[in-house]
Amino acid sequence: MVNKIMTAKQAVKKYINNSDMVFVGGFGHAIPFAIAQEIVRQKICQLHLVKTGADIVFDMLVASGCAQSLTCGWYGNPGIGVSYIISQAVASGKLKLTESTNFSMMLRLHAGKLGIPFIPSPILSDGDLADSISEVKSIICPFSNTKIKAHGALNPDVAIVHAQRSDINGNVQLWGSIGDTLDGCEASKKIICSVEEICEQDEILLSPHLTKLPAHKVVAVIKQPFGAYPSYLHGFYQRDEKYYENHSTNSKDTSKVQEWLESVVFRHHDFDSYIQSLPDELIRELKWSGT
Amino acid sequence: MKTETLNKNNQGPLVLDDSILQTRAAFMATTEITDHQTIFVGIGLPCLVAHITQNHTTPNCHLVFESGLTEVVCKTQPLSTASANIAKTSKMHGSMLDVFSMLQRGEIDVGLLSAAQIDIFGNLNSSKLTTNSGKIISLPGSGGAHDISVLANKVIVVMPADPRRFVNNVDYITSPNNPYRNRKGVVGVATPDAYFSFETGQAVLQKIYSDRDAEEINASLNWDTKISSKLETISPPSNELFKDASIFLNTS
Repeated sequence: MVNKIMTAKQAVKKYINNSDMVFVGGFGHAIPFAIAQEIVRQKICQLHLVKTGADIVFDMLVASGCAQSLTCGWYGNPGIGVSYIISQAVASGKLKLTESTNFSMMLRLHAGKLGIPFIPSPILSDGDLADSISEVKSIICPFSNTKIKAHGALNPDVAIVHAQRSDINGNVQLWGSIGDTLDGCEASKKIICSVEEICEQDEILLSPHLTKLPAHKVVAVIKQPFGAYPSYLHGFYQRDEKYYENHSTNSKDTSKVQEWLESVVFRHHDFDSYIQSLPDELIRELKWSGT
Repeated sequence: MKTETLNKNNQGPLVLDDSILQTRAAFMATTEITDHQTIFVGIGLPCLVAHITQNHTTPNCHLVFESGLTEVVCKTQPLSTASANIAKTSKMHGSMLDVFSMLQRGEIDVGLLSAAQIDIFGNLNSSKLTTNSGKIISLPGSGGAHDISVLANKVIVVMPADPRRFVNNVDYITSPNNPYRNRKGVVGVATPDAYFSFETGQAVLQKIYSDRDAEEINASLNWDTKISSKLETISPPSNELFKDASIFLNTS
C-alpha cells in the first residue's frame, strides 16, 4: 500500500490547481484551517468553493484572493454574525456568489457521491432563491406528472478535510458532528486530509466503524496537530471563541483583514510555526473536556 | 440591551431586559408544541424554545439540529448547530443529509426558526434587507431555513417585537410560506407579547399575554393584522422559568 504521508505544503502544491472546484470539509467542527492556510500561503487562485454553510475559513480564502466564486447555502461567522469580507468581495465584483440553501447543496453533493446527474426535491420551487441557481431546474416527475426541482450534481476536483486520525495509507477515522463532510468528500474526485494523529493499521482494524473516508480517494495524509484551530475537534480541543469574536470586529476593516492574513498565514512558513506562536495558556484552555 | 414595551394598563413603558423578552417570546412559542413531538431547531431564539420544552413544558420532545446532531439535550445555549456543547449531549451524531431526509420524509413535527423579517403571509427573509435609502444589507442567507419552511409539518417563528421586522411584504423571500404537499408551513410567529397565527392565510393576533393589551400590541408592529375573535390569553412564564432561561442564555 502507498504511504500517503506528506506535508500540507507538498499536498497543496501537488493536488490543488488554480481554477479547481474545492469542497471544504467540516461543519462548525473540524474546519480544515491548516490546509486552507497553506492554500493561501501558496496563492492558489480562481478557486470555486462549494459548501452548505461557509465558516470564517471562507473569509480567509476570499480575502486572500484565492477564491473566485462561492456556491453555498449560508455564509458568516457561526453564532456571531455576518461575513463582511464576503459581502464586500461580492459588492466589489471580486467574488461571484451563488446563494442556495443547505439542503439543496447537500442534495447536490449527494448526487455527486451517488454518481448521478441530479436529485429531485420540492425545495427551491418557490421564493426569490428559486430561479437564481442555474444548476437547479424544474422537471416533470414521471410518476406524479407534477413539477419538481432537479438539484444538479456537484463533483468537486478536490475535498480538503481535517479529522482525528488516519493510518499512513489514508484510512481516515473521524467522529463528532459530521455535517456535510462525508458526502462532500465522497462527491469529490480526490481528498486531502489533515489529521491530529497517525495511527498503526492494527488500531484501525480494532475500530473500522470509525473509518469514514475510503483510502482509495485519499491522496494525501498530513499529520497536523491542531489542524482545525480555531474551530474545534471533537475529543481534542474546543473552539477558540475569542478568535471568532475578534474576527467579527476586525473583519469590518480592510486594513485589519490584511493584518489578520499576515499574522496567521504569511508570517509563518507552516501551520506548526503558527500554532507554536500561540500562548501555551490558550492551548491549555482549549483542551477538550467532558465526553 | 434594554427594550421598552407597553403594559396592559398603559401606565407608561415597562423596561424589561433582553433575557426576559427572549424568554417571554420563547415561552409563547412553546404553547404551540405538544409533548413527544420531533423538533428541528434553528439557531438563536429557537434554542431557548427547545430548552424550555425539554426542561419545563414538553419534556419528551426530540430535538434535531441541521448539523446532524440528533436526540440533543439542550442544557446550554449552542452558538451554532454543530457547537461542541450540543455535540456532547447528542445521542446520535448523524449527518446533515440524515436530518434533512427526516424533514423531507415528513418526520419533523415542528420547525423552529427566527428571521430578519417576516410578512403578514408568513414569508421569511434571512437574505438581504433594503434600507430606506435603497442600500442593500447582505445577511448570511437561508442556511436550512428555506428547507425547514417548505418541509416541516409546521413551522413556528420566534422573534423580538421589533416593528421594522414585521412588514406587509418582506424585502426578499428566502423562505416562502408555500409548503410541500399537505404540510402546514409557517403557522405562526411568537413575540415577547403575543402569538400571531397564519392559519387563515394572513397574520391574525391569536394569543396574548395576560399582562398585555391586544389592541396596543396589534398596533405596535409595522403590519396590517386583525385580532382573532377567538383571542386566547396566556399567563406569562413563572419566575422559576425566567431564572432557568436566564442561566441558559448566559451559558454557551
